[in-house]
Amino acid sequence: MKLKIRTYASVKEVFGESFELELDGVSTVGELKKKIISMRPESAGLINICRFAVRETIVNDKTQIKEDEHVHIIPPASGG
Amino acid sequence: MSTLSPQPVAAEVEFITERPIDIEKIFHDAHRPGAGGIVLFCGEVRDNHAGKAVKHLVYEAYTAMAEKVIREIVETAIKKWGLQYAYSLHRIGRLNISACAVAVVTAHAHRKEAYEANQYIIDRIKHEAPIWKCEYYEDGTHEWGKNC
Repeated sequence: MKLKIRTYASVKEVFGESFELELDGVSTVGELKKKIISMRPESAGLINICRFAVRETIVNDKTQIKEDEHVHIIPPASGG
Repeated sequence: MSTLSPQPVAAEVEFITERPIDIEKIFHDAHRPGAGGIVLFCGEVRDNHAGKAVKHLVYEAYTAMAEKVIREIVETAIKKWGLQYAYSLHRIGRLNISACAVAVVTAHAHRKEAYEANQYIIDRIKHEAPIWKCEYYEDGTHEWGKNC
């Protein structure tokens, strides 16, 4: 399955602004999260406090991801 | 006599901008004949953070989602307090010291509700809208803001 990942703020500094993943055996957000952490184990603390979003909606670890989906990694907000 | 029924936010209204925020326009647009209290909050760029001198800030957003989140917050406040008008605009991009980063305006028949609703909107935006602040310091370092 091919996915496009978009990052922001502190996550962007670790992984770059966007990247594509070609994944086998990953069908949920939780599995994707594990895969991303395995790419940069030092980012585990950061990734674990992030939320994930697809099509402007927050998703949870059990949410199924579809082929070619754009997944956004959302660090804790610091606007205002 | 003006209507008291809350009005939803028009579909074409935007809540995120790359341009400087026109605070006077935001205040002007909030006037309603039946509103006796208008509260205008402006969050400005501070020149220091945790003892460090701040040179400028950069805000970034997941714009499509931030638009959706802020719209929901403003519309919820309008309904919850029966506001005659409410609006918020958040800036993204590079901002210098004292620039307006976010504005929130609320208009109600009475000040108590206008104050409460205004605080509700800014508190929720700070915690829920996917917007991030990066502080650039005088010493050449920078740091992304933590949740606050």
